[in-house]
Amino acid sequence: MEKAIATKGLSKEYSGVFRVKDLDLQIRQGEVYGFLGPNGAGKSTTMKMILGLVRPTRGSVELFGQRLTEKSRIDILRQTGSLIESPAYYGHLTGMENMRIIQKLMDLPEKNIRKALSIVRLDNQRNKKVKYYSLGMKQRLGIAMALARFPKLLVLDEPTNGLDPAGIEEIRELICSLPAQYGMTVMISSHILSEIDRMATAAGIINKGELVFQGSMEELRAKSSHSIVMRVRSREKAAGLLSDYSPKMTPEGELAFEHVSDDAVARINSRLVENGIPVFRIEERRKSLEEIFLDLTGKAAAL
Amino acid sequence: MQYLGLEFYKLKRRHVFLTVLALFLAETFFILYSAYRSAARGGTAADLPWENLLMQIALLNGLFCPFTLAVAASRVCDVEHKGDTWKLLSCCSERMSSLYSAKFACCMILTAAAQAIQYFLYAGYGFAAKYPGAFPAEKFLASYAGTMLINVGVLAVQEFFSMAVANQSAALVAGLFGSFLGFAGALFPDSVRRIFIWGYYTELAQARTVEINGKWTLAPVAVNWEFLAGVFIAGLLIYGIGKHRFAQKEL
Repeated sequence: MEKAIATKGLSKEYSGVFRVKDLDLQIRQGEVYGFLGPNGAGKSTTMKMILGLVRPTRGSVELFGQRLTEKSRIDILRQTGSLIESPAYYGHLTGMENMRIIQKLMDLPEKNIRKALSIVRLDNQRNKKVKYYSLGMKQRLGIAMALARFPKLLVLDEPTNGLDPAGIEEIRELICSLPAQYGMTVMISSHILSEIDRMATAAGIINKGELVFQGSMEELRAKSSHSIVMRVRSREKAAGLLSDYSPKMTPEGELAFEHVSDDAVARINSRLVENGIPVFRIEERRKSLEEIFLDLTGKAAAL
Repeated sequence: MQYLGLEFYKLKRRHVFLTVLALFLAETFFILYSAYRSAARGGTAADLPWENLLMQIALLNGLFCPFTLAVAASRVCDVEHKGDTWKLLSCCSERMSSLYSAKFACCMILTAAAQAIQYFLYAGYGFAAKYPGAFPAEKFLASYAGTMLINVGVLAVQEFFSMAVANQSAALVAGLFGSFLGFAGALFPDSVRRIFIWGYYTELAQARTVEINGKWTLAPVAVNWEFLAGVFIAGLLIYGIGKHRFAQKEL
């Protein structure tokens, strides 16, 4: 399938420091691609480079198979809608008048802007000046502006910022419905894994400007493989006895075994008991997505 | 043209034209009041009232035009800074260079329209006050056209500031500085005054006070179009640099 976005070695350097380094993103058409990373990881910079707002230090961006250059940018952007960082608006104009600016700029039919406003449920507030909108309403207006063209690609940078839980749920449902209803590809960034987990079909995780994971959500979830943890007396002696199972010592003073079957657990237990090592507890532990995220991005990174 | 139309659309409820017109009408009031007082006092100003009026216009334009242009540029550019709409416009296929040009043209049209009203008021006052002699249409036209040429230069500087810096007080301070130079420049020697783009408004006085046989009178002075063309070209250069710099800016 043709890629909606493909970057190759995409890098951006500011004052001698690489904020984004050698990024090879692959986003297929029709996907909802969650772009995750801690604050300051380089998500917005990457999205800005994808939209041609920031020039890469090196590397390239291709959208729908077309290389993004100064010359091709305007044509390529006709197929995209975006909301980067915070929603942009003319506060002294009404919501409808803001949409009219987008309509005139992109030469869109009237029905598009009405539909976009209706999708984000702003049609009742369209004649109110935007400076009197709440942050959530401004965010919705930003999404409506991005949707107005019903583009092939939607790039949304933390679109649920400032929304209340009900608003987040609405936006989540909207984003999930876009590929099926309008054939859109959505790239959405967030630093909240659970948000992406419920929306995305694929994900990329960026940390300190480098891509540390890219794949489907199933692949990401597969990283949450379970492990068996045992609390025993004389842990070192037990570890020597079970060296063929490659146990790991946990900081909590336990033995951990990864990828072991139920039969193997029974055999391990029998061997310990037969050798006079009491077993106090056997439990199964599964890594949460948050733990995987922290493992990938480094535990010190702030979520 | 589409982008220019959008600029006017964005100014809805901002009352930019009214603000610009109010500032120029304040200038008109000063000029006409001064012309009235001069005529009432008698002497040269009463003998040559059209020439006196044109001289007052040139002098006061030096004070009012730089600040009014600063206000216009600031109001027109500020709508983007306030809503941080640069990225939005850029992603909606609007070239930043086109945006820069549209804002420049919008400010020029607003100020040119307001100043056209001013010049009609000056002429109307002259007719109403029954100024002697034929209406010097050519001189009025020269004054208006020359003012527009200098406005291009001054506006180029103001737009540069207003687009580059979000805090518009910096641009307004530049406007005030320009007003000071435009007005007080008349007191400087020509060689000093002509260093500054704002100092050229007084070139359009088209008359100067001279002493003949112990009596002060007004002598006609031709407009030096070469100087004004120089200011216009300098303005276009500043505009070009500002536009290029803005188009290259990362958002």
